[in-house]
Amino acid sequence: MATLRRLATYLGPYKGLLVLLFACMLGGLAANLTVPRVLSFVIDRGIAARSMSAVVLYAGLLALVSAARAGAHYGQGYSQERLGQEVVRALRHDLYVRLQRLSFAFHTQHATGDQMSRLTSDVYSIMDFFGFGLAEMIGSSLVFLGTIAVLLLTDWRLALVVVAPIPMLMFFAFRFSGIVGPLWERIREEMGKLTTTLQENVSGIRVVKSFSQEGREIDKFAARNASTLSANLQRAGTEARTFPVLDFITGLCFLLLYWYGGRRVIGGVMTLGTFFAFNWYLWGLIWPIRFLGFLISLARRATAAGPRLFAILDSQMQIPEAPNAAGMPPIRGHIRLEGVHFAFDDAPDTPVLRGLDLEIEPGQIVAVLGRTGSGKSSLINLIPRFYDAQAGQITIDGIDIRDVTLESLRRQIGIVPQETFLFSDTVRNNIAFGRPDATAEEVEAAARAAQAHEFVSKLPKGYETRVGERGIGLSGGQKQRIAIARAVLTDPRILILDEATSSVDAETEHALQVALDHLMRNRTSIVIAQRLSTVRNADKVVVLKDGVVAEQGTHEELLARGGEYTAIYNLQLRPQALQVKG
Amino acid sequence: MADAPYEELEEAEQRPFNYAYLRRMLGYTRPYRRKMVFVIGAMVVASVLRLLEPYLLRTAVDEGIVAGNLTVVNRVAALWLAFQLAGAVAAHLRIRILNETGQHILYDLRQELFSHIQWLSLRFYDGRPVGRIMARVTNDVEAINDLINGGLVTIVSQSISLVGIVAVMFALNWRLALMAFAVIPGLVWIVARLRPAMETSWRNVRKANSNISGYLNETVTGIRVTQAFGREAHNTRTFDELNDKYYDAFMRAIKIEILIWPLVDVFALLGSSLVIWLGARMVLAGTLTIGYIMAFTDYLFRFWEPISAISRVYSRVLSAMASAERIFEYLDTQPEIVEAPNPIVLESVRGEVCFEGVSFGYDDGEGYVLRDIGFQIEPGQTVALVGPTGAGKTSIINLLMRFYDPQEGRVLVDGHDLRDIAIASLRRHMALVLQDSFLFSGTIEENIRYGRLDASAEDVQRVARALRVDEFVQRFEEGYAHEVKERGAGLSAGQRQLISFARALLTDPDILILDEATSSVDSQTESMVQEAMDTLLEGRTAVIIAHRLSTIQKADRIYVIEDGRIVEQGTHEEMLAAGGPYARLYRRQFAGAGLTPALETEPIEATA
Repeated sequence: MATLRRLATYLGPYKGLLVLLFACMLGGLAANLTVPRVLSFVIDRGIAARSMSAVVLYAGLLALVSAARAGAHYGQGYSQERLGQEVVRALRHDLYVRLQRLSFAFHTQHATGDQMSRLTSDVYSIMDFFGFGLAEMIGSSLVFLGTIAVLLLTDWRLALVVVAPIPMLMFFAFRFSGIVGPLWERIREEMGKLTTTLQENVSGIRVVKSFSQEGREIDKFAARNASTLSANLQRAGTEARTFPVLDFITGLCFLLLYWYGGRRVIGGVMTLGTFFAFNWYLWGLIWPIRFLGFLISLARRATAAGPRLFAILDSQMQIPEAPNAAGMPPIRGHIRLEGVHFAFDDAPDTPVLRGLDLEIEPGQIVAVLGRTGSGKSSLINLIPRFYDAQAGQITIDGIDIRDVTLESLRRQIGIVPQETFLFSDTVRNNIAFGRPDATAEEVEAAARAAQAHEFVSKLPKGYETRVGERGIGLSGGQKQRIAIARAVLTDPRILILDEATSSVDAETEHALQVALDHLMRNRTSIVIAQRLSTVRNADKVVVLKDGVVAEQGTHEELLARGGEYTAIYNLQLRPQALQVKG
Repeated sequence: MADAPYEELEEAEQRPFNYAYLRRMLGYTRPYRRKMVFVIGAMVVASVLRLLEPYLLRTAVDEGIVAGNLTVVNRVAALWLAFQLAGAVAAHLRIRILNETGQHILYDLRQELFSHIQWLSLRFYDGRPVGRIMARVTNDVEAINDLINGGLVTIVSQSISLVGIVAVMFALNWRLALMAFAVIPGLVWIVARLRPAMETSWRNVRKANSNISGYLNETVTGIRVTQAFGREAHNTRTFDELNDKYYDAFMRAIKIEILIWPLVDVFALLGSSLVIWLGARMVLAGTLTIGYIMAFTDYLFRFWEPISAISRVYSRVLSAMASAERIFEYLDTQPEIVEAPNPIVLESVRGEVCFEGVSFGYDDGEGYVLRDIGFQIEPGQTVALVGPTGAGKTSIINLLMRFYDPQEGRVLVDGHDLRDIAIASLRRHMALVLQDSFLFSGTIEENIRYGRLDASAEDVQRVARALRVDEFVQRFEEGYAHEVKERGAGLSAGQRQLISFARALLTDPDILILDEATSSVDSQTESMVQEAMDTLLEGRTAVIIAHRLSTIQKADRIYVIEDGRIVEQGTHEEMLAAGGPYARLYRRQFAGAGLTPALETEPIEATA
């Protein structure tokens, strides 16, 4: 119920629609309750009294009431469907906004396919409930209660007898609700898993095909598909056991009416017209009940989907912004890390950074080196606050980065990641990703600076060429230069480069070098270095080992020392020079 | 349309109702024919019982109540109870069997769709966003389930009762019946007029859903870039637009759908009024008993129930048809790469590769990316492809793996045209390591075993050790059972690449293809791979694309590709001496690295 209550808060802004919905519902109810009465008048006052004018009068009245009912039904249909859509739209908006704010840690732990399943399938379950189920439930209850009230007023003795089986019906309905709820939860979960399998398969189709593993992927999917099937079959079985019982119990109501009502008419206590009216009213009673099982199932489906959405909305795995976070003033570039400790959430016992201290002066180019697992990536992820350190402090220009808004901080930091992610959009929009309002000239200038202009101009449609989700048309080197152009365009104060020079061919490497030299000018730059030239150009080389700074200084200083740097140099940087043969 | 970013929503248009799709949809019930027949039987029984109810009521009234005969009332009550019990049993069978059938069909359809797209060529996947493909396998298939589970039942069961009701009404009094049905043609006419608008709007709803799914998948996958560039607000705006489009499309569709019910109501009312008016006259004239008119109006109420239900389901059928169209579009896409009728199954491969006058383009309209490529690789040779980005190196590999077929020329392995070879048997002997190493979620061991499930633990260990996967795996608490997150998150690019190398080599390929396989790894990893490579390449044919010329100097033959053509070939020494394109590339690389090529292989520690 808490789930429904929370979902219902999304109805809040639509009080007008809710009023319309209830007005229409009540109007429809009134009309529905009037119809049998009018019909009984046709019988008693018209046909039985042998008065044709009364027949015409009441038939006309019937027409009016029915027309009103049709109008009420349309109004109800419109307002409930619209409410459903409004809820879905608002809910989906909130979910998306939240998904975007959740930290890297969250996205690492949660599969994309599952998130998608939540924002589509689960949201649609809620749409069905709010767009149809809820109003129908309320409407049916009103019809139900209204009918019973009218029956009691008409002939309370008969009414009590006729509704006697209703408590039994309630019992079965509640029991069903209790059983079908958990089943729906399982179905929603299975659906999430199925979507995840599907997402991964389609994303990795190239690997699947090159290993000829289509058959196995089909089996994998079939297993997911089968679990979804079995969960659904269980639910279907429960429904098949319950719905006919509900129907049967309503049939008992009619039985009681014919048997007891018949006696009363024969005994002269009740008119034939009233007997018929009861019969028609009972139809009003039976209709909501026929629906009851279905509506319960619908509601339980929504309540199963709700928590899956709340899990996103309530996830605390986001980088918290201080309550009164200020905007980060223009950065000069003085970066300081003091006693920084960091561990990933899923491995809290194996910290990656263990009390790291580091100071970077404005305008410096700092090359970071270290073996795999030494904490290089964590270091550069902490500065834009993709993760927060567990202990210690990071300041930029003396300001603790936790005291400023994320947006103002990240906007001044440019990142060229190890792997370039291209969105399926034009080259232009991919370059303008960080600054969608950039002019065509600015985009081109950035591309030139990144040595990308030449190849982009050669593409079939130049800057308007679409690059697919898999970026199939572009090579690694080209993608990287687009990533550099992206960073150039945002004109960041701090630049973070992660092994960005590693995936290009010989000629591109030269072009990239030019691009990067240009990019690093007049900024504070932190580079996870792979190449000797980068290290030589750097103002400072920082060597990480076991989560702390092991050594720092210039290339020459460190090489002279013969410590960790020399070891890495021999392992990583030197072989490249070594293999150069005449 | 395949490369459009979003599916465009359409304007309403008049299209004939696609009965072929409907028939095809219904074809999925064929394996469950017996069950369906049984269910229809149960539905007929239930409908007949329900049809007899008003007649029972008439008997109770005319012969029991009006005649003052309690015995008749009691007997009718007993009969009623029996009817209800029988009805409940029939309903149970109907719900259970239909639900089961519906779910099985859903399973079948989803499985067929998934299996089908597994075999589609890469061209199908090019430019089709992942999320949109997913929407068809999940959301569209569910829409079909709605049709079978909800729609089909309603249509069949309601049609049966409709036929019964109409028959009974005619039997009771054909004049009244005609009067009641006089309004039906008008209703049919109006609903038919609404169809095109309904169809289009449901199609638009499906498209809008697919667009949301596509955008969602992409932006969730690319979330790190979004956050790095502070693009959240902009993305939200785009998402909101798509969200609004869905809202608009849905509201447009539903506004028509909800019109139908009140419409039926109004027509029902017209019919009922006519019947009451005429019926009353008949009773007054003494040609009809009051019990008959009661029963008749009762039947009339029941008559409108199926009409109203069918009309409402009609909209749902149209919605499901929109999904069916989208599903069949995929199912009807033929894999471009098809096997010859009696393909050659390669038991073993020597590793001879030959390209003969191969020209190839991805898109027929956009010209060739490879022109007249011809070369021959002897078994066991290592061949390198070099050249600027976009020269066509990857395309050569795509053809060798037979991801695509060339427009002109032939690609041969061991003298067989690839088009004559069973695809799985071809790829079983090849292994491809790509620049972006894609790992699946699962353990590290599962990932290594991906291409060869039956590999022994020793084999896995041996390959892992050779590639030094062992070294970093040991640092995980669970070792090889360490869970790899989606796309290998949690591992470094180098670690991922080493695993994908291990995955390739475990299959013991006769032809190993490396497409910039070491380009996204750090030089430390690369040198590790290099060390292992000498032993790994032994006895295999290898085709290597590499950007670092230093990594391919030992190749038996190097081809320089520019603009889709081979412009130079030879060994490293030959071409360096020739001073052609290769020599230029080579010089440029070392100029770029800021190094003067050293002439000896001695350590250069002396510079320190």
